[in-house]
Amino acid sequence: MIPCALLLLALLSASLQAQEVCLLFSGEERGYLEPCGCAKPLLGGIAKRHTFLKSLSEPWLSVSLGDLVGGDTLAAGHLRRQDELKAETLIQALKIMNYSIHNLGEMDLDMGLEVLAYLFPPGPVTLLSSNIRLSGSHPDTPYTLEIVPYKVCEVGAGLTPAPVRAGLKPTPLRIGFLGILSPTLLGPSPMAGVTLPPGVEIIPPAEALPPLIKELKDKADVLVLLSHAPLEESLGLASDFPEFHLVASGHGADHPIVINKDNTWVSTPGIKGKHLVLYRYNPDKGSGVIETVTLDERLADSALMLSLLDNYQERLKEEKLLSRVERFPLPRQTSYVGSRACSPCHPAVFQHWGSTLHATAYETLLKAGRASDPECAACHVVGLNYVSGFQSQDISPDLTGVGCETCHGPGSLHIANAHRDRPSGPSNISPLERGDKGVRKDRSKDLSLQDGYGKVSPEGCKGCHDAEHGPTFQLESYWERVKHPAETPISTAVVR
Amino acid sequence: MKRGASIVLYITLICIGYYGREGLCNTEGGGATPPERSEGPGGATPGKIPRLTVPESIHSFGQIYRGEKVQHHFLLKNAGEAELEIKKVRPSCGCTAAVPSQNVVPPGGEAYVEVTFDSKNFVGKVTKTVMVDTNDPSEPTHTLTLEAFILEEVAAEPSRLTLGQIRQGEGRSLKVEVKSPTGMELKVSEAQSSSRALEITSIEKQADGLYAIKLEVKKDSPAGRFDGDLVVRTNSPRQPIITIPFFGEVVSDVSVFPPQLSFGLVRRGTGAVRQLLITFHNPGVRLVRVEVASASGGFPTEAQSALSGNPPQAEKVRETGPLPAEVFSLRRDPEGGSSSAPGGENYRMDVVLSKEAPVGRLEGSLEIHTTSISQPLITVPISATIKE
Repeated sequence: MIPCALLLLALLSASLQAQEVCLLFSGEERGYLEPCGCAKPLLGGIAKRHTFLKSLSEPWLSVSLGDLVGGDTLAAGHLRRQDELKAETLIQALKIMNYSIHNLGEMDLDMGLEVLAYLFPPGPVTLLSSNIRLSGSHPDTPYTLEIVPYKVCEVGAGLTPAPVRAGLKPTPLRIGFLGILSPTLLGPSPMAGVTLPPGVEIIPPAEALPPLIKELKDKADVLVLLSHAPLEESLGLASDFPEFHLVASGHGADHPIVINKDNTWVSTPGIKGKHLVLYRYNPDKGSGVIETVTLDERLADSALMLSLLDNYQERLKEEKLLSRVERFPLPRQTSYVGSRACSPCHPAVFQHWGSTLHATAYETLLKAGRASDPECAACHVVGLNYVSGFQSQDISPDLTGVGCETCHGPGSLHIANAHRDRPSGPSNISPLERGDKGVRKDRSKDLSLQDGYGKVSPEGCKGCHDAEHGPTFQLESYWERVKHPAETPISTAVVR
Repeated sequence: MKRGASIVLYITLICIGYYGREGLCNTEGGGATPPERSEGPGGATPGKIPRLTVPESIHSFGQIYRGEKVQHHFLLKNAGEAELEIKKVRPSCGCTAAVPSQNVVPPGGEAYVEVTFDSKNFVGKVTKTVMVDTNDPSEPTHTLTLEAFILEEVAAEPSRLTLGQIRQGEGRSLKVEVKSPTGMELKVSEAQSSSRALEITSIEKQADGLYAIKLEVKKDSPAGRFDGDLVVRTNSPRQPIITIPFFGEVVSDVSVFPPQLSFGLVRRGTGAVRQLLITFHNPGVRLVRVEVASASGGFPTEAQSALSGNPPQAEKVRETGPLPAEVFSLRRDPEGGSSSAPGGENYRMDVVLSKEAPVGRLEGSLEIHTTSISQPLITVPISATIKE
């Protein structure tokens, strides 16, 4: 009898409890659709994020904190058109994952108003900013682009015991979102980086927010500020506007951070969608719990998102982006010659190189289906961003993989120096070049000394083996894998 | 406690894994997978646990110059009674490399994590972190924090050139100033623009040691988007090259986005839709028609105008080629449609890839006919790859 009563009490109690709702925040996307396959562990990416979202049982609402793109624009292989394709793919992914809001970031503005108008048609993902306004009559803003100053989203049942008892229909919880873009991120100074486009006005948050907060007072049960600003500025806003339950900060923090500032939670999920911040709000308590989630390898990849990524890769191929990368002239009018050209004088080294993963780096990329991606190719071919560098497998087959010239630099001058010293010319170079007295003469040593070519610096390795693409890289152990064998000293090996 | 220190404390707290009152927890892998368990190395003695102590978890490099690579060794100690396993070190960004001196630290032993920070992409105050994952059950992840204030020996202002739209025939002159905030005697030896659309007209040394690089988008530049880098070579040993990315668009009467309509990989029988944005910058110019045109190796089709009829519905593309069905067709976007703006009318259109499209690479183009004298015809390449 007593257990039955307890069970009844528990059931009654449960029915009177409000359902928790979950607000989910992802940070600056920066065009990070998926982790590089070379990285370990594989963190983030839309395929893992989708799997996680599908696992949530309570009602949820997801919000993007700004900057669809904005990776290293000076990185090898970077192309603005690729950023646009990434942004388009991300928007598709956000729609599939039921995102409601994207808070405008400075890198979004840097894409231009035309691209923003294309990416954000009237639809489910709203572009939000409370302090950015478009001039309606400016000739430079002829686009149909709507940036809303706030958005109220309804989520969950939002039950409270009183209306249930009174037989009233439960109402959903109303979450009011406001969003700001820090003025410090726009302007000509190196600190800011992005210039405000013509026809766009930015208002200081302290001026823009008060009237909107007032307007939302009766329209929302919970107020959230999306702050595309450095963390310290977000903390200041949390202090200045205690009306906010939560300030979700989304600029410049690499890792998730959560701070309770004057009884307001300030959180950031970090960059590139590797982590998420979850705010589980309990309407009964009028407060929430914050959780951070790392999207790591234990989450399976969503098949739907994988097909979206395949689609994106094919678009890079269809638009031939690899052939559109910027190509800079090489210094001193040198040019790339391809690894095969090194083999006549350096047969042992060439043979050894052929057995390393460097030699098959392009095949690795082909197998991964990423050979048309300029950002990936930059570290799997020779000289992608240079005149005479890799163009395609058909045009420059000797420049695939991490070739000799990736580490040693373009080799044309080095070969020219060798030929100058050799009256017989290039056509007579052979792997076993005969010396005067029947002695095999390997000219690699003396040529290297003559023109200074061939010196490598460990710093060069870190261009590709960085923390994002090769976090397990350790120079000493990796060096052993690629270290060339000693070449046969001059005058010692007698040819039989 | 100062605000900066407070932030660092909280970063540390979240990485520890749990924070007080309302329950902040760091759930690795979320609810979808079981949380990671911290287990001791193979030979851990039952009842004995390792304990990581880090005398200094925060290191400030102070002021450093952009382009410098700086290094610091964080000392780690094992104050526990079992072996401490350093499972992973995870820098927060590609700019930071971290290598532990050893993977196992005996009880009472010491190790260090060598951290190298490359400042080439930063200016101003920077905070970077390195997460150290160990088998210490009380603190599975410990955060090491690096701070630096990065000065520029050579600075360009603006550091990015977002030129926006430039009306064809108007051109635009602009200036980039290159200076040394540190007061070094700066010399700019060369500047190059990687795009013909943005030409360098002069490099002038001014009285205060500042260099003014004057640039120009010519009045007769062709309509279209351009981007690239302005590369400036200086005598600074730390920053011998300054790169200033630029982006802009010369617009005439009409602009179209995207410049190429790629559908990418599409499964046979599913179809797809992409949008096209046509923007008129001259109110006197109108759209005449948009049609799908044939392409080499593609499918010769004769299209009807997508704008000739009023109802916002798909309009048919009449096939005259060998294809069994329509492949690309056009329709006005029922939601976007057309709208008026200060410059003129805008059109948002759907380009529809038919579910009947055959397997293989399909290529063609969209032809946009307008009443513009300078842009009577705009061609947008279109492509799709259909897979079984």
